[in-house]
Amino acid sequence: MAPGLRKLVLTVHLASSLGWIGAVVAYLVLGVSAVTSYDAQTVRGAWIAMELTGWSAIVPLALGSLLTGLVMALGTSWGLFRHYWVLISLVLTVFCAVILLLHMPTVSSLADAAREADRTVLSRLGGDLLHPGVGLLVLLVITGLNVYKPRGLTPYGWRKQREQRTASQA
Amino acid sequence: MTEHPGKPESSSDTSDYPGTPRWVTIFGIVVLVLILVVVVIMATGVGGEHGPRRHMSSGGAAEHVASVAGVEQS
Repeated sequence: MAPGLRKLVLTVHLASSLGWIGAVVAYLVLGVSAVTSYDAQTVRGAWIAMELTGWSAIVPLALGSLLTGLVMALGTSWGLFRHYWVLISLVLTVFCAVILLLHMPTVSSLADAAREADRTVLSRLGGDLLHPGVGLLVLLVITGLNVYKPRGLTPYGWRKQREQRTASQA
Repeated sequence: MTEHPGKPESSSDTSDYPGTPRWVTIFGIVVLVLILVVVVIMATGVGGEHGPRRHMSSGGAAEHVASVAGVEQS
């Protein structure tokens, strides 16, 4: 990958990945307010905003982060399966994206319910803390792996490295 | 992800694969334990219902959310 293009993809990757974390924090704040508020309008507004935040911010940022991460890994000498930190980051990112896409229809259903619900129903609707809470934790682990890049080659990465050294010595 | 990997991770071309790094092993054990905990919680029902049913625990909320979400109540 050309240096200019690599910098561009890296910039988009960092922006979408950190944006994903920020959007999940915003979603979590809304989820907490839906759980803790005694005001029906606040609960209704929180659920509607959670649906909007999910579909309009979290999902696009998650897909953008996954896509640019794949491009960065495959377009540079890091590779996708050569280093454990890259491989684990990929698995955790795919896991988060799949859970997100499976969970969002439920959020939409509950937001639809909140739009039409009366005060009594809204007071019992609750919030959504488990999914964004666990998701945020996993995203922070991925961020840590990407910053520290702990050493460790996979057997495939080890074999590729030896092949490259042999080729360069020949 | 920075631009390039650093120096090669071994100084010897002839040595065998050094094995899985300790941090990967510990990470794997922690993930396995967490998966087991989640499986036990879901199997025993300690964590309650999952999905829209979780929000249908009482009275009017149950019927209303079920009708809007299209979920059959048991």
